[in-house]
Amino acid sequence: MNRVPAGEQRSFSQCRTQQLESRNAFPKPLVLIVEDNPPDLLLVREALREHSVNCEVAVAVDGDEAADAIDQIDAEAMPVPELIILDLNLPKRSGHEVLGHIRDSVQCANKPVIILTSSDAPKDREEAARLGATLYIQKPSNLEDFMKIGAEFKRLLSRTNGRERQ
Amino acid sequence: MSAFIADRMNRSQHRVEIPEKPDLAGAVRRKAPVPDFRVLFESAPGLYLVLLPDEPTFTIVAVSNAYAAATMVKREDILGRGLFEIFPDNPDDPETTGVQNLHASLRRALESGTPDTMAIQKYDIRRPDGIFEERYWAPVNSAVLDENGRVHYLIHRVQDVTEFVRLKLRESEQANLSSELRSRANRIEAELFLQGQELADAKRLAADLERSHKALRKSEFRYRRLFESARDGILIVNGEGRFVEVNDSFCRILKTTRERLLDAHFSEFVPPESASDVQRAFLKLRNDWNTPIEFPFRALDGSIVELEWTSSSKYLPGLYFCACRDITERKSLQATSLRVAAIVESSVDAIVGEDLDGTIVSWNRGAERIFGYKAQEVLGRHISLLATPDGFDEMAGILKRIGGGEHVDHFETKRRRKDGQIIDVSLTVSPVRDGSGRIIGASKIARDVTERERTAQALRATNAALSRANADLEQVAYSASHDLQEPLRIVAVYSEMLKKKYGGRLDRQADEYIGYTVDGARRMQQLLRDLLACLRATDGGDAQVVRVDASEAIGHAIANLHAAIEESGASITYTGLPRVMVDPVHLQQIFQNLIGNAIKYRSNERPCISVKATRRNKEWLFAVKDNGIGIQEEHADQIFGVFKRLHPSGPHTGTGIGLAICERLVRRYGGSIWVESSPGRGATFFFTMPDSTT
Repeated sequence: MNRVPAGEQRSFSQCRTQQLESRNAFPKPLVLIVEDNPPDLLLVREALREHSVNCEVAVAVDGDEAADAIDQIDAEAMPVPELIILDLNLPKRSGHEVLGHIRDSVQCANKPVIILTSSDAPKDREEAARLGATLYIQKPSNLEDFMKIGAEFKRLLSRTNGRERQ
Repeated sequence: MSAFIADRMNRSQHRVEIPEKPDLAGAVRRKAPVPDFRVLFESAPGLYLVLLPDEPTFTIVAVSNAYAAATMVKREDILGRGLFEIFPDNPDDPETTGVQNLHASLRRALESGTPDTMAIQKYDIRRPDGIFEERYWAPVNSAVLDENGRVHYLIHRVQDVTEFVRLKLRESEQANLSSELRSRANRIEAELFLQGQELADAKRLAADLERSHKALRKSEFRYRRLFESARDGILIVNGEGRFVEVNDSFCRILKTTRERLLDAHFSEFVPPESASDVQRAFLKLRNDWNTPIEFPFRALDGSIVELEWTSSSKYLPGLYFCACRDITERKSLQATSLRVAAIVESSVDAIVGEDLDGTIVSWNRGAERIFGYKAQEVLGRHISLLATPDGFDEMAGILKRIGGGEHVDHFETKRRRKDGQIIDVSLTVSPVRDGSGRIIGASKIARDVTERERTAQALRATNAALSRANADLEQVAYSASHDLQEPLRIVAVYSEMLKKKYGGRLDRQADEYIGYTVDGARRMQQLLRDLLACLRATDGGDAQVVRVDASEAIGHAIANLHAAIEESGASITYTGLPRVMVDPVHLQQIFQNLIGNAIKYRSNERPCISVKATRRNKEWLFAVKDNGIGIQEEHADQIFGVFKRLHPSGPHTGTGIGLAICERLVRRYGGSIWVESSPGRGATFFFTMPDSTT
């Protein structure tokens, strides 16, 4: 599987094909982004780049695709992501459902999941926390703040990597 | 006799002209032996006294021995002296009338020339030792006339009836009077009767007179009392129309004194406007005094007194006896009851009287209209006639409450009309009491509220629809604002991205355009945020109303405004603030917006803001006062509108949502908010919050 450079947009199916081809030569941690809105996806990539997060990115653009990806990972048809960035407001299947699916999965149950959403409704926060979200971030409405969340991505990613190394 | 008389005359100090007797008579008498008249007179068994007619002295000129003995005097002591000098009244007996009566009788005899018989007379006799002895006499005074018919002498003959009178007096005390005494008394009585036929007649006459006199006096007294104590005004008017006599009540009615009224003319008291009526009334009174007539008088204090008059001239010609009664109160009562009757009758409400059993006793036109029954159809029937099929118990319950003295106010229920239609009525029921306060029935006022009920229902429906529409609209506004935020966020962030990545790399104009885009997006984001906050202020969903100490809320507001306070050097004072029932976040928000506003619109002076609260009715009135630039009066109402800003640019930035939020929050708790200010003099924002104790 080829590395997908950060900032490059690519569908999950493409990502899967690549992964299957070169599994063992996958030196960088994988970040799975579940986001249907291209500008936001681009902003997440910018934030990762801003903080020089060295990672591969895989993308799912709706709830069903995200759930499918988790199943593929469990079937070891796909590499296991070290961080999942999940929008709540998704087509086909809600982010909460996807989160539940992640926590029920074999491979991803303990992986950090960041909820990145425009909603600040308390019930969304509560539900996310109940379902085991690691972090809940409301999408910042200005560029500066948006770029700052790249630091959170980096922190969580380095934590899991560190643990694996030990 | 003439010699004797002459002799006496000589001895007397009084000189009386005594005509010479003609010789002719003397010649005749000289033939028979002449008795010694003097001896005969003096020895006569009767009690005689001969007096000269020289009133008022009545000189004693002769006295019989019996008289002298009976009166305990000596002849030589009394002859030539005045009768009353010798026989004065007993000074110890204040009731004595002896001298007075005797004098009167003597005068009568003197004037009439005929005998005058006196009633039995108490005339005490002075004993030689000066003590008076009680005596009763039966006197007869006769005149002795000369040939010319002139009174020559007066003969005063008396009988001493002291013993008889004493017996008589004692008779009542002593029932056992001895028969001897009684027969003696009878004997004397018979004698007296025989001797004093005239006396008996005179006595009867006198007694009759006395009786009728007494009766008259008594009667007069009675009538005087009656006259004076009558509650009605009573007056006597003469033919001229002047008051001859008035009683106290009449004086009271005219509010003046008797002295003022006597001789006053009645027209003086007739109000000018009713003068002609009074004239007519008087004419009528004169002819028919049995029918009372009403006309007013004006009292001396100017007040008009309604009077009911009766009059009569039957008893004394030329005088009118009038009686009048003050009917001012009665007339006003009459007027009131007439008015009340008219009101009851013309009321659009049904006014129904019923007794405690529920029998209908009165039924006005309103009742006819509302219930459809005519009065004659329902009077005497039971009120349950109006009950709905399941309303009988309620009716009985109302009557029971009324019987217990309760009132029923604005009780909404249903009644059945004659045509079977069920109508909504509002009932007010009060007990009806008799003069002694006993409850004897109920007075029901029923108002047909069917129409009102229908209107109210329609109104409620409209209101509900309106609030629904309002809620929908707010929801739309909320969703729209919310959903608008998403694309706007992208616009804002990417315009910044554009600025960040390509700023300075295009031309100067491009940089300017990018700048405007970034600002516009930011401003719109702020507007949307504020709009959402404002919409949330009216959204009743998640408020948590508890008892909040207003001082604490201000404390939080000040903490949030820390930077602005620091920067402006504002001083904020607040003391004695109450606790109110409110969501603490809301109260804090209100204070934060008002204080923030005060700082934002400060003048050149250092901002001084004070917060006070006073109790007003069942709420607290808060006042947030500043020394800022103030607000023109014509803008005072606008400033609470959404996005209303009085300062389009310059140092006073903001979206103009703060006061709108305050207004919505305050209104949410049933309060109100307003501002009092004038430019340059600062502003005071007032708002009310319900009292936590109510």
